[in-house]
Amino acid sequence: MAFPLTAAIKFATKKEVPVHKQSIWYYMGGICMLFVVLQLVTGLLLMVHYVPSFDGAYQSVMAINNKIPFGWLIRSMHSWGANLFIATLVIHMFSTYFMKAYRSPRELTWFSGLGLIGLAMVFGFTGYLLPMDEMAFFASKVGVDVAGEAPFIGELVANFVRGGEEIGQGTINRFFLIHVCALPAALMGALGLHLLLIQIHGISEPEYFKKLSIKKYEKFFPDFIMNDMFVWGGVTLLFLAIVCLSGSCSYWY
Amino acid sequence: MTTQQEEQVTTTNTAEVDYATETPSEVMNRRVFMGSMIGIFGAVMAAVAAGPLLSYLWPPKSTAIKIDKLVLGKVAEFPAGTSKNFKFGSIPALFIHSPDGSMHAFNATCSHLGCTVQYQTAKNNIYCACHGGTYDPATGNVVAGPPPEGLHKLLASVEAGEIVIRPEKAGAKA
Repeated sequence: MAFPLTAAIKFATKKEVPVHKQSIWYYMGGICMLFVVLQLVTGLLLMVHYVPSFDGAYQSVMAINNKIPFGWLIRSMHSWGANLFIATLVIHMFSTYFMKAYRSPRELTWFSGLGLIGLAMVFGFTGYLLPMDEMAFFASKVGVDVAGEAPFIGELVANFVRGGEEIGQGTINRFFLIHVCALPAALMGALGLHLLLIQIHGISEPEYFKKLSIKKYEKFFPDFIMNDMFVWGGVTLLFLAIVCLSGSCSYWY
Repeated sequence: MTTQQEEQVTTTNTAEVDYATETPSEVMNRRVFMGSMIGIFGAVMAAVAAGPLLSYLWPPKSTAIKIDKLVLGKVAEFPAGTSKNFKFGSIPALFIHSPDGSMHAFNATCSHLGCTVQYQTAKNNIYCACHGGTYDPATGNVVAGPPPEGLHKLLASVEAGEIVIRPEKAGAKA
């Protein structure tokens, strides 16, 4: 094995994952990671053809959907991926909550996870405006107006986010910048911290498992990661099936 | 054949391969087989994904617009000594109403490196801002600078008080 990988694999083979009847929930974090990668790749591809302008955004999205080969696939993957990413994050959060994995010493891991959910939501909100269709326009207007209702600083914040009094080119500039530049950078930092903390603290074990006299473990590498890859493969196929059979989920609303 | 040789032959023929002790170089074991299959599967999947991805990234076909006639505007809008850069279909073009009253139109693509040329009223010449190429405003011939040849002409005429631009002749490179 090449030198730089040796240390990482040595570390990964030492790491163990508890095997019990609730082990299935351990895969949720991995699925979230898969969606992060899918969103990054499809997002980069969309930027090849997307035009972040007040007049041209909608036309460029329509061109991606209708004219550019496989544009519909990339756009639908990004759109569906955004929704399923949030759904998986919520499942991941609740599985962590109900398995009480948030407890000491993993408080910071829990809070970094909550931060990641917050980032994902801002990703969703800023990305929603970018196609600049009627739905996007009014959803963003309502969203920003809600912020504007906050006492004292509301209008100031709303104007700042909007980049002016009305939703326009300034809003798109800001939302686009936040969506493709600021948030991915913040996500990388928060995700890095989250993963580092998981490595430091190891995988949490449920209470009943701790009390067992005979505990079963599997090695993170290669056993768990192999299973993880099967899960990723299965989820990707299911995801592609949803995308191909349903079109862009924005058509549903 | 000696007894020893016979024994050797028998052993070679009947002995089964012991996968637990054989080294990978001697036999295609399960690990090598799985590794190869995963590699082949990965390569096939990558090839399947590469087609759509490349077609998505490939630049769209050029949508050149060819036209036979363009009404630029009323003659009164262009007094002598004025000019206008405009699009003749998808070609950048230049109309000049010379101080002497003659009207000329050119494909405004500089023959040097393809920048768009402009009319300089004060100097009464056609000038390319990129590398200083200068053309004659009446003929389009090169006057100075690096352009290897003159500008391609378009036909400018006045019809019913309007300036009409046409390609120099049907099928000619505008």
